[in-house]
Amino acid sequence: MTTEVKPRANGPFSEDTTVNNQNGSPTMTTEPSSDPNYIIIDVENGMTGATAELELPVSAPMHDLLPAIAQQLQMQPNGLQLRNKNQGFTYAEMDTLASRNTRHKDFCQLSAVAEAGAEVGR
Amino acid sequence: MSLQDRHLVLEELGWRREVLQQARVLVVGAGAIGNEVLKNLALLGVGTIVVVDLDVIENRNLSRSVLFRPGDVGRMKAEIAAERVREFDTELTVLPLVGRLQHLLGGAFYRRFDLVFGCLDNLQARRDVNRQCLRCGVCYIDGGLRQLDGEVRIFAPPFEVCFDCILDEEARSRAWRRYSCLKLISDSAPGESVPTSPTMAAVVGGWMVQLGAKYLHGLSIPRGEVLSYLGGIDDPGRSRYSPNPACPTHVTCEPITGVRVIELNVRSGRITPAELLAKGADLLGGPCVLHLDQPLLHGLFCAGCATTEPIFRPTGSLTLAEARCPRCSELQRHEVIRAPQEAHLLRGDEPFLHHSLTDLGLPPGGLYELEGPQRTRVYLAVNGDLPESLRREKTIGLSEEHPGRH
Repeated sequence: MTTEVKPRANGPFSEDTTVNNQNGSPTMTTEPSSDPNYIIIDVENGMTGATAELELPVSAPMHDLLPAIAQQLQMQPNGLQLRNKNQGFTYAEMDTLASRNTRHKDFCQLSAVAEAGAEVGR
Repeated sequence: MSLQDRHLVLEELGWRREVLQQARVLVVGAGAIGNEVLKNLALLGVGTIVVVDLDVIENRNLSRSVLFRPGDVGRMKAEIAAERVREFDTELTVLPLVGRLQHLLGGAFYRRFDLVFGCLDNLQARRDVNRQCLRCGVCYIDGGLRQLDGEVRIFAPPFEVCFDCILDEEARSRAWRRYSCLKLISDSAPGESVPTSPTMAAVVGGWMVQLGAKYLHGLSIPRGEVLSYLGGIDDPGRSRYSPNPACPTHVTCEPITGVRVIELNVRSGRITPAELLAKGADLLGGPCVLHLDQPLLHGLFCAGCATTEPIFRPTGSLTLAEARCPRCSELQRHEVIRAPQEAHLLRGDEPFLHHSLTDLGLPPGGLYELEGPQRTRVYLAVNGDLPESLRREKTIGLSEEHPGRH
């Protein structure tokens, strides 16, 4: 499935990406996206604490969206989870930002799933 | 401090000695987290603990494992961990099991536990434990580490969310990455090594046991949620998971709640699928199909020479080398791999029904579903394999409904 992309005028990440980012760093944007198909949220890199304000398509499923967000936050694309810290939930694979009622400027955190423990089988 | 004094301290926390003494818990994995979980269970005086691990202790384990000492290197993790736990409290029953959990524990084991702690390092083992817990209505508390991060995931009846719900397709395919596409063990499959810290193992192990103790006492726990600590940025968190309508475990796994379970005091080596099918037909008044506790490999088929070699093993236990067709590989001068034939259910016309369950490679303590006319169902629990301490009925959690989602 291809995630719809809305190119942003004057944005450096507008070509063939799923994320519209303003210079790859936090900006002072506070107004909601002018495009009803997009939403602006803050996303934190759970390893480094770096935060970016991203304009994202509301109807893209997480399995398409997470690799694109990871790219923006310079994280490895696999084994990731996105948590909405304002609303206290973790997005599932087929969730979209719209389906989980994500709000403008919600604070989210992208982190790797912690899997290590002990080898016991398979 | 005497044992009596120790328990008085616990009671000041609102926990009851008799509840902890009666509890039966399974600890899957005796690595860094498993060590911490076992230590905490011993300090609380949890009465019956079964610990499963397949590995021997290596030097590198000593930096993260509170129960292991340099002199233990080369010995089995489960056995040493059990020894050390008994040193805390000689009244505890601690049973070590050495091997792959899928080959050691059938569903009849799981349904006797009040609580299962997952202290594992791989996704497929977690999925297998999760499946048995959902099926048997047993609370599953899963811990994980990654560098300075730690997570505790809590899944409990009625399992609106289970561990498999939170995985995506990429993770599920990654779960079998140690295997070839035919689920054969590949010697060349790379194992991923993730750095972990003893400090976070202690935190995660502590959280897990505290949540488990609360569950045993009927107190509220965050079911279907994850507690996390991102050590890189010093950020604690708590987050809800959402049910996944396409979760393969929820779609394919029926909870046993509400279905009659017949307890069979017989060992797996002394009973055959034919006898289980006959028992089911008696109970349900007509011909049955038998749903296996775990998938069974019953043959290797070579497309090259169109032959099938009978082989009875649990799924996931066969190596690529074992699956090689010696005749075709020699003739064609390259490796010809035979296709494993897998059965999930038996209909009564299979040629191997008179082998014992053990000879077929099915795990001890199997829990077999018999489905008869008009989809009537009954379970047969092969209890003869269970140790004495697991044979009595559960007393904790029986008031809960375990209907699952479907």
